[in-house]
Amino acid sequence: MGATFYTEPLLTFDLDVFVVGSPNCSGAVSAPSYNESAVTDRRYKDALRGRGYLKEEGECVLIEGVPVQFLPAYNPLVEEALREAQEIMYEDVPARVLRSEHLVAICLQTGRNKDRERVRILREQAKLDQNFLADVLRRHQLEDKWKLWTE
Amino acid sequence: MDGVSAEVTRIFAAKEQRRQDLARLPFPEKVRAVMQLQEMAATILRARGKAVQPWRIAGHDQKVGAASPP
Repeated sequence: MGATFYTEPLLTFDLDVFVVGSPNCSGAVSAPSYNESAVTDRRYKDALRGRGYLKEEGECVLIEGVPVQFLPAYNPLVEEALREAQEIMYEDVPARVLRSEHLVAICLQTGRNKDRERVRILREQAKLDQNFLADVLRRHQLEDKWKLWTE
Repeated sequence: MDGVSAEVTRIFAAKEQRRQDLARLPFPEKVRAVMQLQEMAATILRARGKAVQPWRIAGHDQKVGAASPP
């Protein structure tokens, strides 16, 4: 859903939320999903159970009708993206969304066909700060992948 | 575009403009649009034997352009 904040609506059936630290820390909505069940943190499901969200669908917990997957920040790029996520208001509820440049970088790093398509759409429709993006790509060794996907 | 009439070129340009317009919608409107996409895709996916569940968010009218819930 993170990409959809910047682009036309894109089909997805679940909501990935990156989290840091304890279940009390806030997370941010991400665009690409990270299909590694090992990163699913049991603590978050336990915390949600305490709030009455008992139903699970695969790796997701059903929250108010939406399957949500919590993903621990799994590398320095994701940690940085979370630190620099922007706070928005979603119908009077504060939420955090990754910067579009970080979404592009995470897509490059994840590297699936689906991510390549997301990068194409983000380049077309999102306002990308090219200097900021270049810096992120350089620091996370993603420049070659960027060239491969965009040239 | 080679081999494409002016009318078809105009249609393609209008489609592209539509996508750009959708990209500028407020985020809650986009969420409603995603829910509509889920409903549309779910019918096809279920016919292929894939179980998917469109979101059921209380108070969300799934028509894009509808008023936001209070």
